[in-house]
Amino acid sequence: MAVNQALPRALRSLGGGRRSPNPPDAPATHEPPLHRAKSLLTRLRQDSPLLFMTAPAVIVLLLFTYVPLLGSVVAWMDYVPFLGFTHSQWVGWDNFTALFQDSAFWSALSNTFQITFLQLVLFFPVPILLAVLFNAVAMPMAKKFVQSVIYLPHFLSWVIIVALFQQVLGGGGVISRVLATHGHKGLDIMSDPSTFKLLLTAQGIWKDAGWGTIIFLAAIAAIDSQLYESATVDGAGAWGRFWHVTLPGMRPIIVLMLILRLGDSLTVGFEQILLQRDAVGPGAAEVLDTYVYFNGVVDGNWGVATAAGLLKGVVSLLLVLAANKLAHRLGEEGIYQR
Amino acid sequence: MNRSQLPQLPQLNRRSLFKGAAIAAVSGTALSSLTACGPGGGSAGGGGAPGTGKSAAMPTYVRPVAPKPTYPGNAAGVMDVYASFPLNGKRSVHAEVGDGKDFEFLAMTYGQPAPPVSGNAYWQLLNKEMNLNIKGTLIPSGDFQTKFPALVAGGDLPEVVSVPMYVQLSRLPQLVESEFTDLSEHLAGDAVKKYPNLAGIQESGWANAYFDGRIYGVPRSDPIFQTLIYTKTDVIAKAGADPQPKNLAEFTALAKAVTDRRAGVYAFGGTDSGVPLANTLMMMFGVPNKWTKKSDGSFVSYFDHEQFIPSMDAIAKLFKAGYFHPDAPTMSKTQHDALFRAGKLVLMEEGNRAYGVVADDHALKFGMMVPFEKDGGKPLYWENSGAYAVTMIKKDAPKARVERFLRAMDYLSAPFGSYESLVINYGQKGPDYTIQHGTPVVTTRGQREMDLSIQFTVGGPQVLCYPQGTPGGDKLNWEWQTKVAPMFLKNPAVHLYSPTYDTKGASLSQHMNDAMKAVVFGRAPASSLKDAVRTWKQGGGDQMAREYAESAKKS
Amino acid sequence: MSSSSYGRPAWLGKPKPVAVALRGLALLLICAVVVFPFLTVVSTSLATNRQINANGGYVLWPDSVSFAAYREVFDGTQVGRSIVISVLVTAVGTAFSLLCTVLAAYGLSRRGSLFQRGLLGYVLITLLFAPGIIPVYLMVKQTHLLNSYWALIIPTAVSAFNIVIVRGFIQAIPQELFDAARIDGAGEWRIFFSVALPLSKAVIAVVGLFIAVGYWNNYFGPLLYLNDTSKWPLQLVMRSFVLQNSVTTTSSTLPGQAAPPAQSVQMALVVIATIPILCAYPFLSKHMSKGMLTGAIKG
Repeated sequence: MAVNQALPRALRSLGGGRRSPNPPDAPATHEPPLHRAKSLLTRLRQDSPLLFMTAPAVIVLLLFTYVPLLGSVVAWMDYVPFLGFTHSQWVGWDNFTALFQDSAFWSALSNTFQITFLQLVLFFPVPILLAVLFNAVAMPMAKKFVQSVIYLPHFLSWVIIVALFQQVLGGGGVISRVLATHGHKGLDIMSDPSTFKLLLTAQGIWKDAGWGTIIFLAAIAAIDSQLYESATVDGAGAWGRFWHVTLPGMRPIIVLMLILRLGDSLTVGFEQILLQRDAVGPGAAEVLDTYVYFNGVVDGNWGVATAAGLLKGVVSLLLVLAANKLAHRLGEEGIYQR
Repeated sequence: MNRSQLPQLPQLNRRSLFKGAAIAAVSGTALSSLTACGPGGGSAGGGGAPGTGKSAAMPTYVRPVAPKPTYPGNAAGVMDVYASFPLNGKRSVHAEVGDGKDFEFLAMTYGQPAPPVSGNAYWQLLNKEMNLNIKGTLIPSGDFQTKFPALVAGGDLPEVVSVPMYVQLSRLPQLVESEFTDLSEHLAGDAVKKYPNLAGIQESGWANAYFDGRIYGVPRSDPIFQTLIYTKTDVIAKAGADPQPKNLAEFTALAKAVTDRRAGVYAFGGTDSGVPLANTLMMMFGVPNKWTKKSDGSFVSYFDHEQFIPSMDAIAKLFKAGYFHPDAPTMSKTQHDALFRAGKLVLMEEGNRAYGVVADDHALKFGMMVPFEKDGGKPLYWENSGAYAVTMIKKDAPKARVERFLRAMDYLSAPFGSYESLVINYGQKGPDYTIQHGTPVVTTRGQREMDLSIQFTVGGPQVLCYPQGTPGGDKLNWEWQTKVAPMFLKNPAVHLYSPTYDTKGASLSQHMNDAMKAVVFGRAPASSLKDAVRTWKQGGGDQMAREYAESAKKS
Repeated sequence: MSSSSYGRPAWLGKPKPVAVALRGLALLLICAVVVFPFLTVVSTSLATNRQINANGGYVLWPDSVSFAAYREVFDGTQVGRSIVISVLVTAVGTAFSLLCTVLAAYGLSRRGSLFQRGLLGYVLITLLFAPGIIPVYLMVKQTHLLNSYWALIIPTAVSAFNIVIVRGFIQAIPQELFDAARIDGAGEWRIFFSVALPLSKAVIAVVGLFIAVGYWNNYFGPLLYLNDTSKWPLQLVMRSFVLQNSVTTTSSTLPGQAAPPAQSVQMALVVIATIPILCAYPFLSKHMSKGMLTGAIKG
């Protein structure tokens, strides 16, 4: 069967990652150059199955994302639910200027970016490393057990996780009690504004790093073992195999996940932060989402909340475009090809 | 303790309501005054329907027939206290209530989804008693502010809507005027006598149901007591201290005496109501109840009172001295209760209603601290707004329907001790409650079934009857109330309307809460509050003061 | 690398004992960090209130095992019924959502196909801009989905995130496989079923798990769209259970009513809400480690 004959070469190219030998702007080799010249009708006939396949998703997004997105006009309104879209007052750019003129907004924005940065540096690599570590475990039973166990924290809600952290690290927690009985001063990790962002990151790692390995394990699983064999034949040790086979094989997914995370830069654990904000104060803990919550949602200022949402979208768009461009520079497909 | 009754307002807080996730609750409940629009309150915000002009008279109060209390209440706000439960009450409603048709209501619930009517004895009994087909739309307490606006926007409100007063709903007065029926002709003055149980609701409750001078709903009355400090008397006795200090120095001495860091015992925990001890200390320092109305008619905020900053500084000193549990800033309600029960927290700032929590446990030795002034002078105590919820009827309901709904509310407002009150609060004997030592005790099934929550919608004055609690507890509570009632200080703005408060109040309160916490927890000097208050005033506080003054002038 | 799940491949050679020990230690540490808190949750759900109170809220190991919390959770409540609802909504929702996702991912995977760039952009934009609560509610009302289980399934069925991930994996399938099939005269549907689908089992399992967990944990959709409380799924019932304790609803004023649920009940709820979704995991994990090679040869 043709499929089987094509395999070895194909897998070799896969093992090398998507680093195509061509410069990124050149058309990929597999793409028939004729394509563009074909008439629209021919292409329609040829590609209509693809359009059919995409149709359900396109329709659902149209109904439940795009049409409701039209409601974002309330960003320029003083929206009142019982008056509806038609009778609420237009207020121009007031909702946006209300945000821009508030120093607390900028401070929240700065905190948000700082937390995102910390998470990118400290949190993002953890699931990748864990996935590699698990993959190196040879015993199937142990592997399975560890994998199943490490997902557990993902299913705990933040309320419980914060409470559990407090039980251990809090001023009245286990460690502090031990210190106190020995006459030392207790810990105050939970209420120290200067280390709060690190605390958030640590909690995030605890909750979701294990869960995050799933996708990378799938990426590793997609790497062909023949590549490892040939690498071993070529004299590569464990480190060499990791560096030359595993990592390049995971690269496209890592890049993809990184871009997706960047697109989400302005979203950092709303509930997690809200629960702990009081312990350190807004100076250290106010992020964009909590700011919007207090200044838009609780007061029923839907316009302000929507304006903030649109701003978030625009910033994310810029970040994703930049990251995508960078990915292209590095020879990766990224999220959206040029 | 008793979920058929209502939560103590000051204990609701952002953090605890957030359990689970996402959007919830009120920020800074402890600070936000409840601004329902009282008699004569102007519809100052845009979008409201033009006022109907004439103010409706207060519904005439007719004292309900009730069994004789063991310790009688009074007009000042002391509740009737019963040491034993009056069973076999008489009927208070004699006329036919319903006509077998639907009674769709919306309410906030603290419970779980009640079992469907087919297997719900309580629900069936209510349907039969009132000859109605009750259907409920229930919104979990933490999610009211999310779901309610969506229902409003979709035009999906049912015919009878119960709005909790402490959940700040933006532009409530305009919403009320645009969506609900003016009930003044049915309820104002002597008209209310057609519904005897509604006539038994006091003025403090009705004041909440006025919007633009008209009556738009029927209130659910709430005791007017707010927070106090429960004392763990056995721990205090062991430490050789006095559980009833008479001034700040004695209060501090008490905190010092009971705190034992090595044993993990602390005087104070974190309260859920925003800033721990804020209410207690502000009252101790003579800070007025949210607003002061000066003789020239102008309004001054309590943040402007000269004792506000010193009172916060005093809390900061207690915190710095180490009398607070180290986890106070993030402590949850559950933890707080557990620590108090376990004797790890000695002084618990809580609502008067939390009496059930402490009295439930017979092993728990507790006292209720009577407020005092910091130097032993004349103490004051902040009065609550008097209503938990107001229940309204959707606009354009025909008169006959309005009357049917009012008859149902009349039934649901039956006074304590009546036959109907037993039905509403205990359900059907057997499945829902059993009699033990002369006291009805709700079964687990009954508890689940009563999560229908209809008993939270309307009702008259509340009483205290907790015979199964710690012996002597009811007397203790009554004595506490009797001592506190003369100290009452009203919030002069409580039934006035401020559009600024309505659209910015929650974020402004949050701003002050943050600033106060920074001082209390030692992150900022007390002097930083001056700036915070200035920002608060410029951001809307001054505007609110002007609007309240204007609103007051109109009445 | 499916082969390693069935035993150690020959090419790996003998592992160094030090490396094995280090790895073992690391895994043990990771497991401990994860397991202890979870053990706390389970233990607290089984402990007596007295022990919990004495310990300030949590218990690492119960003195005596009590199932009272679990009895309370199920006694006369809607929890049992809501679990059934949640399982059904999750199952149907995951199937529907996965179908939309995988089809769209494949439909958008071939560079240069008609409208591909435009449609991909259309999908990606939804990653960045989210509509407000009220407009979505109005749309659900317009489509007559209010009070229907479909309101929990359809509006959240398509996530750009999932499409992007599946698409990424499909694009990592060697192009030669598609070309070969095309030369054999296979149409897009056949290529989808015989090449793309079998070779994407791992990612489909992973994304399926994401989707399933999303449906399972969703309380917000039911909160907004289901007025009839008898239709509520587990997460929403559970939320009301937990909330009910958070507020001091005590009153005091009337006798005879039971205490709100204690810490043990809350923890029991966590355990109950976690177990069913954990049960789904082994079924999916079987596919997650399915490598390319096995899939390719079978395909």
